[in-house]
Amino acid sequence: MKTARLMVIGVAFLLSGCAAYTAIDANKPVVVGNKVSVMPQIAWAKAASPGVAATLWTADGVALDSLMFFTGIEPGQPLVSVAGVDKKEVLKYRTGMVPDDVMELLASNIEKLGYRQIATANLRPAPFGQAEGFRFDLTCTTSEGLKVKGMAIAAQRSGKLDLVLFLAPDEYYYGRYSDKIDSLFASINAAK
Amino acid sequence: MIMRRALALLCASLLVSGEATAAKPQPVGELPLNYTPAPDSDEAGLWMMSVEVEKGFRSSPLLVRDPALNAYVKSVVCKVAPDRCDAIRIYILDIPYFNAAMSPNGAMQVWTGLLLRAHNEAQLAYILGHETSHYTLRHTIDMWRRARSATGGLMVLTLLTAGIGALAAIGMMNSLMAHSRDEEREADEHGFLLASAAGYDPAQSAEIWRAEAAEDKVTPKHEDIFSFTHTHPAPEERLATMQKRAAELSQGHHEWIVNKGVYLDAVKAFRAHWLDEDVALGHYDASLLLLNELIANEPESGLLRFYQGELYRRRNAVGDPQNAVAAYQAAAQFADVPAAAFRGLGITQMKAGDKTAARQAFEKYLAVAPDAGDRAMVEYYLSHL
Repeated sequence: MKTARLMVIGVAFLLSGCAAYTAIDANKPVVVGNKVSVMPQIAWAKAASPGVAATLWTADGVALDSLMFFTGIEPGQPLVSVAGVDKKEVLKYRTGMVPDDVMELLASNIEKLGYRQIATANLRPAPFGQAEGFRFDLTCTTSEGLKVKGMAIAAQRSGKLDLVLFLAPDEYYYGRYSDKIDSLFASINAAK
Repeated sequence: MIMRRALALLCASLLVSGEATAAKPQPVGELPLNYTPAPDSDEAGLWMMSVEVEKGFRSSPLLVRDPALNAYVKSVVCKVAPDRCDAIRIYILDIPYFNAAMSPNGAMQVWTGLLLRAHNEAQLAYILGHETSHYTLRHTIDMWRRARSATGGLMVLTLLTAGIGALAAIGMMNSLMAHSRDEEREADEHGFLLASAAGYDPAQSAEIWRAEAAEDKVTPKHEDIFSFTHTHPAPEERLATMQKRAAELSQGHHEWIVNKGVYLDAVKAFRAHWLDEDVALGHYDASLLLLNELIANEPESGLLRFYQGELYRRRNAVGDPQNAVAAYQAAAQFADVPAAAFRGLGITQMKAGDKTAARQAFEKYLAVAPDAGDRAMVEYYLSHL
């Protein structure tokens, strides 16, 4: 069941802790993919992201905060690829999805990473650069029993999905960075 | 990567150990009342390990702490095994799979996926009777002696206490505690006698296995390795056995306890969450089968029909949008329809291009749930119709 998968994911994250990081300057705009750029707001480290089709940044380490940029996701592509999980079972991005569908897509995909008790809320329109986008919030639990909060912003442009997700423990870390993430979301530069 | 492979190998070795090393169990006999193992015995060591895992249950975010639900499940255990009532501790864990498990020291896990699937108290009683029987028949010490002689039991103990995570530890513990199929058959028979002696309808024992056998056929097999059916007799075999035993017991007896209403009242407050979790697994075929079973048991549930609509909408196979609309509309006929059914109906009709129907559904959603957290999104949808 998922227990075996949780161990694999946990180990993968531990291993990523040993991987090389690349520093991200707080005050220089960064292109994160699919012609989407952001102003980082704080100093980040770019880390390896095993099993996740995203560029991953972290401020204090991936176990404490993760900022994931899923960019240019094409129809038929999932957001994650997890060893031991049949690809047929991972929900893929589809043409014609509405914001509710995208929110369910993300929740379903991170469930395959081993997160539990996932709940999404507050789906609302929000600008994604110059494009029409949307935001939502989520809560979940890690395999270590840690309560995690998250916020996401997304847009569908030219038939592709761009989604930025921030996850951090509810205790201390989410609150520490939530204002900065709001500012980072507002700094997104992306054409319609 | 090496660590990942080592963990996978360890899991694999644990999973096969229950069967491969089951040369010939040496039964230690039924657990005496108020029993505590001798301090220098291997059984005492096993109990100590169980105490550590039980501590993990208490602090786990997966633990369902609702006093009323815990008291209800405990009351069923006490009806089935009154002489063990004080010794058994119940831990309801929020895990959306059909499972329950028993530690040798009397800590019983009951997963919410089991509580979602039971149709009535009698069905729950037969499962709890089975688990209680593993405890009273001391199956775990037999298994432990087999496993320890063949695999690195101490290595497992070290891993269990090495901070690998709450759910991972629960899974490894359950894997370690996997009984042989003969022990499972013995617990089936013993549990059957306990629950039927308490007056529970024996036909319900067969009924829950009939539903589980059907669901098992459409559940992805890799999701099954830690579930109730993995080391247990095949659901079909169990179903045949239970049907035969129920037929034998039912002759001339007409006053069995089922307690459907009592059971549904006890779980009512939690079902939306449990269904949310089941739908989120993405096992659409298995979930649809489960919902059909639940709807057959509760034909007037708007909540269940809403989740049927959600499953069809998310699966989005040929014909599913039409099935989703029908399910949402059916849900709307009942008093307990969730407001979200109208949002789901609106989304499905909007995607189908039926703007008028979509508008009506979204407006109904906002009328029923004016303070909804996604009001701005639904208003956005409306503005584009």
